[in-house]
Amino acid sequence: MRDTKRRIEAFSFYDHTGIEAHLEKMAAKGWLLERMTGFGWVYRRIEPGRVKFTVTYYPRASEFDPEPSEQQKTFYDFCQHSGWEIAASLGQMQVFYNERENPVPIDTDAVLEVENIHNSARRGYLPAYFVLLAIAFFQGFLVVQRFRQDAVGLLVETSNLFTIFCWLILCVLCLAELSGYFRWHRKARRAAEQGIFMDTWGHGRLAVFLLAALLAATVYWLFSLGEDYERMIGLFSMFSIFLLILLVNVIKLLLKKKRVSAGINRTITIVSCIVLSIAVTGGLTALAITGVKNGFFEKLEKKAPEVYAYKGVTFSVYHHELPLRVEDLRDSDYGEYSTFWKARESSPFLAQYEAAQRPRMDALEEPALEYTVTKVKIPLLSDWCFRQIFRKYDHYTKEQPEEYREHYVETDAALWGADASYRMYYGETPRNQYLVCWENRIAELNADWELTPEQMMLAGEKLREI
Amino acid sequence: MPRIKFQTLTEQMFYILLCLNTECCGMDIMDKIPAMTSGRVIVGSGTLYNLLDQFAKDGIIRETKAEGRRRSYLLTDKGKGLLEQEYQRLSHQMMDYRRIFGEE
Repeated sequence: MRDTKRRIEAFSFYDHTGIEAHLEKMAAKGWLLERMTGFGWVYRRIEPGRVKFTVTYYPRASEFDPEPSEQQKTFYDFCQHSGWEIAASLGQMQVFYNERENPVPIDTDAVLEVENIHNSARRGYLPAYFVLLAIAFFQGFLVVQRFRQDAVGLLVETSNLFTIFCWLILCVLCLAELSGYFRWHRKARRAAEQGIFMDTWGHGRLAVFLLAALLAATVYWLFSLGEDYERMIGLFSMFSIFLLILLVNVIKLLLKKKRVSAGINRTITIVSCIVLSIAVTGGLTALAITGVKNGFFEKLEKKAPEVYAYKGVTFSVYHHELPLRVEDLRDSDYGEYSTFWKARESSPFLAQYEAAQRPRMDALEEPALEYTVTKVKIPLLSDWCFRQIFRKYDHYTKEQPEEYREHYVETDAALWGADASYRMYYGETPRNQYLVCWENRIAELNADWELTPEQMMLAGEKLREI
Repeated sequence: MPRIKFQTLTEQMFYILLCLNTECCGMDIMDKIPAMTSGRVIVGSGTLYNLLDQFAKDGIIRETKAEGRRRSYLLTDKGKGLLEQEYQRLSHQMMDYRRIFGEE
């Protein structure tokens, strides 16, 4: 039978009422709080019974303190005098328990209690959440920028959606914590003037819900990745973040054990956090670049490509099945094509299929064909998605003179059996690049030759069925 | 309206200062006040610790000796003035009461 247990607890820093009630329940079940760490709270087994808990705040304490200061110990002596024993502390938060019947409360002045909580919150809890919120907003700004440039590309990749979701969750948590705290503080200050102690309310349940949603999203994201090596990279990245948090905490704890002062500990911990973050990010990026250069990731693909060298450069040859090939549209006896197919289907908004049929570099005179089909899963997004794809080319060439500008000109959709179709022009010169739209489907097709009406109809039929 | 610091004293502040007319330490005060008021007034350890800290910072009390972590305090002249002022305020309240309701 274990005598200690560790639990991940989700309480707001200032929610002393919630924490006290929870700890009293735990004591009634036979578990007394012993330690509070960044990796959970540790309880030790006791005789189940009625134990009164009080969470109070000591603004001058810091989680970087090697041990409680002399003044803090004096505070503990005061509390002990009325039967309150320190159970655990985390930064400014001090948890006391008392086994006496009807003990004198630690805080008997509501105004002082609110002042203490606020002074403590200002020293760690509030700045931390403001910084996190600023980072979440900055990430939001980057997402909006990316959304404006390539909304379809952003929404079709589950990795992008997962990242957005993570930052969104962080943003919601920060806003809930900060707004909840300030709302409580305003009310508690007014009540305290009347001598009333106001209970706190935290966002523990919301935090648990957000954590569960985050875990579910992580699992969905990992399963949505098409290739095993992508999943491996995903898991490796997450492990790196976990390792980073662990390392920073170990550094902080080691410095505390070495009795380094709080100021030096804080500085070293922050610096090591920044240095390790850069090192981990840089290391992962360097590994990814090396992997791409050496073709490491391609070797890990389910259908690893062949490779060939041309003029000292290595090229890949894929042999994926394609729903529409050059040979379907015109005669070709060239048998060395590389056929690449990538399906992105896991986004709840869009699915995108990318196909490329290219000859080897020593046979560039052979016809090539590329197309991308975007399927809109939510009908309401159809018009918007079409506008985004259409706008992509405007965006790239907006600054160029009209004669060099790429733009789509509407053509006869009936030729494709479609609802609408467009052909790309470079100034006045037509290109063999087309945009063909059906109700919930947009195909971008790029051929190496001038398509005949029959080829257009055939291509339309095939693309409509993907 | 938020109360202006130490312009008027709460009951707990009043009794803490009253105890410190003679030198005593924090824990003595915790025991003295309920005894002095027949248990009517109690001061929590956290509240007492914070008030002693604030009183000392404002020069209302001064530390007289420290035996380990046991520190003793005594009321300063400023503290006596504050207590006197509070006494006058309370006396005026009593006189006003008597003027309205007469001597019981």
